[in-house]
Amino acid sequence: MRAPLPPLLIAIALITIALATSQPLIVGAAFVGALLLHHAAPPPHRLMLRVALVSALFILILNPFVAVEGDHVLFAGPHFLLFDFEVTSEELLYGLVAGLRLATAILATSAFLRLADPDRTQALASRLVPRSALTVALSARLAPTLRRDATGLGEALRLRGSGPERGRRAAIRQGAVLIEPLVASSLERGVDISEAMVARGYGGGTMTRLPEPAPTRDERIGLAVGAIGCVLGIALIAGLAPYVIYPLADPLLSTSGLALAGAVLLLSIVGAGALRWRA
Amino acid sequence: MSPAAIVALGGVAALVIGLVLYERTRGGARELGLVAVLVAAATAGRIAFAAIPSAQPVTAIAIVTGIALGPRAGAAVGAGAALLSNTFLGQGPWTPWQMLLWGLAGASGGWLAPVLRRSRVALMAFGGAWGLVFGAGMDVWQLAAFGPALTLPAFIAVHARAVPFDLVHALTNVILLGVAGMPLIALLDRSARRMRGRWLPVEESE
Amino acid sequence: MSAIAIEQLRYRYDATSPWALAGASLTVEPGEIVLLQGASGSGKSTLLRVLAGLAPAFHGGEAGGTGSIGGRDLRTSSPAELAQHVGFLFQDPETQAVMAEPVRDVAFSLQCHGLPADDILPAARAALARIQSEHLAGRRIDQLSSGERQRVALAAVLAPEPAVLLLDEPTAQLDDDTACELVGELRRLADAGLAILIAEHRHDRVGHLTDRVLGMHNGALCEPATHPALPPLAAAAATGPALLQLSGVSATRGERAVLDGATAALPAGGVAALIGRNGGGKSTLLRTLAGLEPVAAGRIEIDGRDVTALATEQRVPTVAFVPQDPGRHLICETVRDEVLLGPTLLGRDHGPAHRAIVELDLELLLDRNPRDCSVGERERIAIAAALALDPRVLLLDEPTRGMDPAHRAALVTTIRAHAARGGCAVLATHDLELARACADQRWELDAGALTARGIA
Repeated sequence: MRAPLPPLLIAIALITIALATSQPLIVGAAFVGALLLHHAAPPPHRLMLRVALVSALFILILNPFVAVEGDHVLFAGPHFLLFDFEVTSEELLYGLVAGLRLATAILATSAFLRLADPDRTQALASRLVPRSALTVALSARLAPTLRRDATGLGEALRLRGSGPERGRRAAIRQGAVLIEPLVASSLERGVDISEAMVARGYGGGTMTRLPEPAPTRDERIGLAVGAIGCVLGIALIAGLAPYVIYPLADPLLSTSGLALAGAVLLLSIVGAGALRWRA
Repeated sequence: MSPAAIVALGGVAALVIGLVLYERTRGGARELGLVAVLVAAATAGRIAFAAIPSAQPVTAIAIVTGIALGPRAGAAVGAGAALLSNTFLGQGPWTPWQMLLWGLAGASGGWLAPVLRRSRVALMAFGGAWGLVFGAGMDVWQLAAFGPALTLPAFIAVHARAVPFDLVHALTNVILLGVAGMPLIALLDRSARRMRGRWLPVEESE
Repeated sequence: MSAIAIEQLRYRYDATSPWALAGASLTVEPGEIVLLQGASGSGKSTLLRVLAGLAPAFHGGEAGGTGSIGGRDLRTSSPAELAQHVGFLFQDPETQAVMAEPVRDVAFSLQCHGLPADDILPAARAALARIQSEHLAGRRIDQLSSGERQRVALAAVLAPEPAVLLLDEPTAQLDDDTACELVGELRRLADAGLAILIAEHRHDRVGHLTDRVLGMHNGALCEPATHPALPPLAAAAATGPALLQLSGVSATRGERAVLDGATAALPAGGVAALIGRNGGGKSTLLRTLAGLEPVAAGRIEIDGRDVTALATEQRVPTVAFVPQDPGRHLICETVRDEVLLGPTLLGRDHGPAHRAIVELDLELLLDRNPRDCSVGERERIAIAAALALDPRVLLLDEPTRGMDPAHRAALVTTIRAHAARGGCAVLATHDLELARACADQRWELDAGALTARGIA
């Protein structure tokens, strides 16, 4: 099955790179990388793509009105209360960069979750944070059960002649009446499952960790790409290829900018290709 | 470092600290089972409430857990419920921040337990306040981490459209804690009672 | 050496309550299956929990006496140490699995016992194979049936190769066929040397494969009480105009048709037993009658009135429905409030509620919290809460689950009394003896097709 570490490293690398620099070409390359990773994951993925693009667009449009920066005035609007209706090309450029960062983060996260096998993600997490990982695994196992319990409680109330309430406030109040038996029934199941865990030997000492299967060739490529990407991100934070937008944007097409954007793009193509989900 | 970076990184650091503290919890299967099942219940409740936008019981459940079982358990339930319920409702860069805010709601319930246990009104007011803080906190972080800028105008522009939702969230917390808050605390107290068992000496049991 | 050897074992949940286990002495040899029988609350579950070390370590309280199990001293071993030698299978498969996938879940037991990492997954697969369940590997546990889940739980318990297996009503959540398969596995395991102690109400399911039967009463072991079989219904089949009439009722779940043109009629005073395999649509039919599932085609009439389009709450109180495992969905803090909730919400007379409390033997439980009651007791509370509505049409889904024989016999009287008052009842059940004892019609459901006939 699909190992979680390669897509995790690549996603972290893309998000770090996008946050580490303001150079639009590099951020754009990270965004394209996230898009590629997103398409390497199995469907469905329309919704997250839309969420990502709408969020990016919102920030792009918002920025000129909340920022009072930039030298190239495109539209000389008034300054009204807290808002500045003067639009500069720098403000637009910065809005674009900020929007692409958010879109990159949304797409990379959703791609990681669909590329990684949940059971193996759990196993990976249990190496790092065993108690948290076990808690989440257990609650994920119990969630469908408690959703059925929640439905059953609602039905129990209807079977006594009390139908669903209309109106928001009445509906919330009815929810409040049912939340107590829901939690009570949950706690009961919680004690039952704890008892079953003790009967199965939990709490006797350290648990053995399950062995991880050896990575495949593609997974090794993914790991390498992710590691290089992370190093690149750290280098950008440390001051490799500095770039400023305000008050006057640095030239877009610098050698270092082009080279780094090209590198990010290349890494993304290799990484997404290696992790492409095959049915 | 810019204020935005401090806020964004501070949030991440707080999450990591919370995770480390939870990992260091000593406590057997009973505590772990209770936290897990409360996470699942909050998740089930959040999904059951999904028909009413931004009305959900996660904040209220995290707060009462904090009050009854302590700040660590409250934080774990809040953070866990954010993580788990988003697997149904959509994971994204907002997940860590929801984990942090709901975790803080739970933890703060634990810190203020002596006050909140005593007065139902205080409990309801606390829940209402968290409804507003939660929404504002989400927007602050979004601005800090992804921009465009952590400034008052940007906050107002982003947050203005969220206010009606925050009010529903606050109202939900007030109603839930008003109706079910105290009974839930009593319920949790009962199931968290430490069990101490012993074997009688052989001659005594003859 | 005996697999279980206990002497004067006593236990109480706290220092002030009476002994739940009052001096039990017992030996069980390897390869032996011993069945424990007794009413709800007689101490069967408590004995099993003390034997597994869960009481007093997990439940608190006080224990006395001496004993060893699987070669370990009960007094000095922790539950985790005992777990390597003693397996415990609980009643409800829902709350035994920890992980989402069968092999991972079975592996969890082995991880707890510190088996070397590389041996764990092969051993987990072997444990599934040992009870013919290797085909479940790779499935998601929440998609499995109760029987399949109980098999995964059994594999998880057997994986560390314990010498003793304790089972607390392991078939309560299972239908006859799956229960029979599970019990068959137990016999094979015992023949391979495992010592097995089972607490189970359903003697008919396990009795034939056990070596010894012990009774339990007030926390002490005794001769098993014998319960006469339920006598078949003596009254003639009810006749008259239909109180409940189904005409061509169809229902679908997703793409699949679960009910296909069901037609049947039940007069006042009539009781129908709804029989059929698991997944054959019994629950769907009852839920459709209660208005909890939409009707795709056809008509449902009660007392000549078309109720097809009415929502559940509008069919109440004419229709009352007790779903499967209702004990999980009790709303109130005391048994009294729970039974009175319906009449109170509807502003109706409490008379029928008090009658139901007497009929279902709940007087002594009225001030208890329903959550402190056993599965069988909760089933009775839910049935009383339904009868408290004074319904014309009573719908019961597997009402005898977890119920001890005495209360099962009393339930027959209750259902007949409801019919005698001019009501009618439909009960979905696997319990054919119960069906013969109280039903005058037999509704057979097979793959969505309903055949109604009188019971000859």
